[in-house]
Amino acid sequence: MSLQLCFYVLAVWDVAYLCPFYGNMRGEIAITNYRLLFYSPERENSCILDVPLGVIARVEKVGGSTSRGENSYGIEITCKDMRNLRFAHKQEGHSRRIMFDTIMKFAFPLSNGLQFFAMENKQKFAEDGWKVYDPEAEFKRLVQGIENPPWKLSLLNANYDVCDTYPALLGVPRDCTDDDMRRVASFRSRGRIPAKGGGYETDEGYPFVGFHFLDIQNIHVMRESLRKLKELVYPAMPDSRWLSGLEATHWLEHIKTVLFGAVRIAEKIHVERTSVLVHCSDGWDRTAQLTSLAMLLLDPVYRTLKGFECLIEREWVSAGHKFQQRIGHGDKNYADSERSPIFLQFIDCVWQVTRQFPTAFEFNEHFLIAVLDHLYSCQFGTFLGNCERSRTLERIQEQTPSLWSLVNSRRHEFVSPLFDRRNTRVLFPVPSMRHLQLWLGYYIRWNPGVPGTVRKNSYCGRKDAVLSTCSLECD
Amino acid sequence: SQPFLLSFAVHDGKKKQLLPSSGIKYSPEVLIIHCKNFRIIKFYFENTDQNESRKVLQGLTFSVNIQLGPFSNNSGTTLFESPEDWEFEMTRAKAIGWRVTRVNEAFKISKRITVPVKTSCYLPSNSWTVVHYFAEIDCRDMCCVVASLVQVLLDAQSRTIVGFQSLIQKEWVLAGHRFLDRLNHLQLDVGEVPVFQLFLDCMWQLLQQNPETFEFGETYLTVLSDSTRIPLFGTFLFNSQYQRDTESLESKAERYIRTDYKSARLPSVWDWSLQFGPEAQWLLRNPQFVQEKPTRKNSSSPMALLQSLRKGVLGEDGDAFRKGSLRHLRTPRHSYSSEELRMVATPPGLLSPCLASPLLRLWEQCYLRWLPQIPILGGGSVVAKQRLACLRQEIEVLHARLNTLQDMATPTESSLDQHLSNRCPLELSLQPSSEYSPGTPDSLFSTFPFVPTGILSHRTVPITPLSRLLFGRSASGEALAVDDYNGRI
Repeated sequence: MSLQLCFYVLAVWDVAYLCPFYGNMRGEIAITNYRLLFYSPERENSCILDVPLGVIARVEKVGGSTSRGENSYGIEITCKDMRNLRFAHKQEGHSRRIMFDTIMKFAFPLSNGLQFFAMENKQKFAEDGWKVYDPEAEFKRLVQGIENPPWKLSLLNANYDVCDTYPALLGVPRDCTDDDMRRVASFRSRGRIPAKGGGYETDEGYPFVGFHFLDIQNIHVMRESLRKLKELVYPAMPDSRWLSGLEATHWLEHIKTVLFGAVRIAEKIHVERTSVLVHCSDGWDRTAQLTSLAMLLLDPVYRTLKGFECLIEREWVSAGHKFQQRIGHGDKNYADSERSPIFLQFIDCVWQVTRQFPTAFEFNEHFLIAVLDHLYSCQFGTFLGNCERSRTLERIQEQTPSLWSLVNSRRHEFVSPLFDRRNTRVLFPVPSMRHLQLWLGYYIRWNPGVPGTVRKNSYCGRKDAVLSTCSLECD
Repeated sequence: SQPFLLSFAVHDGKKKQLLPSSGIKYSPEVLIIHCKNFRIIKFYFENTDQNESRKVLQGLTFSVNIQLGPFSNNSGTTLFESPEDWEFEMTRAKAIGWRVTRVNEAFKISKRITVPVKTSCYLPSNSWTVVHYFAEIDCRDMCCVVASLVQVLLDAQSRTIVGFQSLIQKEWVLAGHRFLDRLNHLQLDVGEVPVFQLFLDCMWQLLQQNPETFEFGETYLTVLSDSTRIPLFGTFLFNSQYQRDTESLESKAERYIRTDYKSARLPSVWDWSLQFGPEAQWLLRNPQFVQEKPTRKNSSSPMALLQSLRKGVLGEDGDAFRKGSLRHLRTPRHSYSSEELRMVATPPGLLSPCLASPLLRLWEQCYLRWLPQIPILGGGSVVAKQRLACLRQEIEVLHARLNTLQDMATPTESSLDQHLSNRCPLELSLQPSSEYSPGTPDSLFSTFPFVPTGILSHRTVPITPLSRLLFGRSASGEALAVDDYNGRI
């Protein structure tokens, strides 16, 4: 991997890292255009921190000129991946100010008129992840073997002028004309023609239909729930009152409602042989969760590594889940109310299903965690942007590598040895609180005392080795 | 038969508890039985003849006297009823400075204890002696729990089936845990407390955290838990060894004869053949168990080992930890030099459990197995274990073939078959070449081998050795010793 062509070191400082687990340690911070690294000679010069700048949500100065006491003057960094970082500087000199300014500038490129690191990333991989999802090929696979399929491909939206948040290629009912579609789009919210989603109108419009309301909460409730969870587990977990604390976050309850919905859909389709319309307010949050989860349960192809990548590309990326808004890539406005962990929730649901059916999935836990890490890292173009139109305009595919390029080039790391390919049944997980578990391997992985967590140390090594691969040339 | 806790009959809309003294003159509409293994069973008598339903109730309220013949102990478990057992154990534990005394042999000194009370400590000279010292008046409850758990953590032998059973004999049965009172066999309500259940739950937590270090699996612990409530085994029926001895059916004179026969008036729970056929007994084992290799000589200083263990295992606040964050959690690897790491990481036979609250889980198989909505069809960790067994078997078959090819000898069918017949039936059913369908996950539930009734009636279960096992036939078709009514092996 040609790391040295695109990563360069911006600056290095002498600071103390106030680690909640190992205690305070002095060392050096290196900030590259991609990430933040911290080394400490007290720990055999090993890399203690490796934090992609994309993970940073908020940077604050702590302590003022009147602060007394050791370690009271420094910087606090809030991260999107369930941890916070606290550094202490000497008051003399301007090291804090310079470090603060550097991080603010490079962690929030959008707010500073800079490009995402992904756009500068010229890494080459053996596999091309952008080729994983081919809408035409996927459509052909879905209608394969069906005589006179009731669906066809339409290029009506090729220029995104019917609906700008939908993809260019749409699968539509065979007998539906272009005019029909335009009329439908005109009274749909933002022109989003019902796909797997529909409007909730009154019963008269839909005879012979059963309505099921799934009480899945909105994005604000989910954001708050995750915030409470982070408070509960980082940096310390309560010894007593753990279960009541966990219950008070409602995080597992939300997982349960989503999973329950997906199981209902799968039951309707597989057992009762009916069609299902899934609808939420806009169709890019809860709809995406439900449809992709239901498909995972119904179709074993989506449980393979490439099939899952395809699923994400189709049901999330191209269907218009607003990754940019929900994650806030490179945006310093940490309090934006449009931010919400909807995709994380979906991956958590997937993880719950892999726990209940450990032999049914080709990918392992490490893969799911890698997806979540790169959701924030901005190392790849996969999760940038809000919809296909904006991605096409900014030429994401041409300029950035795809996350799937990395994954498919290193399959052996992400494949589960327990996978049983012959198992092609429909899965019916039990969405009971008695079965759902908190995903310790993701939410509490920073706590070294919790065994069995997946350690993300793929880039870590000895300080000199890593720094030497970062040349000082600019792009 | 399932040991009852309480039974209620509903008659004329009123629910009444059935007691041995109740004269049954009415015919019930519903019979509700609360079992001690957390199961509730309801019977409805709408379509039953009134005389018949009354007879059922009357039958329930009579107590049953069991006449038992002599049983011998052939489970391989050390019963600790003879001084030789204690001598052997002393030698094994390298307990220097202790001796076995016969002073209480006929319970002359105390009817409650059979061995002298010792104090606990971890002796760095690679030997250990374990404790019965605890701030407890009677020393027969939490003492047993703590002493047993310490030995399970320290001693790999206690994590084998026979070793674990011997441990329970030593620390519970012979130490005088009041099984009769604590399990309330006679429904006298004199101090019913689930101390042994607590111990088994702790064992289950350890099993979850260290699946490769135990020879027995979770099913073994569940079955042991159930067995304590069957008022059949001498192991769990008495409050002390004295009581166990004096309640014997033999004459008093025979009590002084020191033979194995003396110890076996009532059956011991360790003889699993009394409850399960040979194939079902395989389910008690842990397919993930890895035999521990004999430990190397530890050349580091004992005091340093003790100190680092104290920091890591016992979780005292060393200078490497923050208060409140890592207390009771495992020692992070980074804090020590590589020298110390080699020492701390693999102390001989030691388990260090993680006590963090998020890692403690509810023992689903034991407490929730009877809820019909609980089992995951075709899912659960049992499916992963089955897959592992399948993979392991494939590897072994390939290894065997490779070896025979390398030796350039012609592979004989019989030697391969012999090798395979030593595998447990769980793995045998997964032979890729067999006529049994590979879709065995269909017949598995997450609560395997316990099956709540009602679920299977809706599905056609494929006839595989595994499903045969579930329904009481061995892999080759003969009937096992199965309790068909309860759907449990």
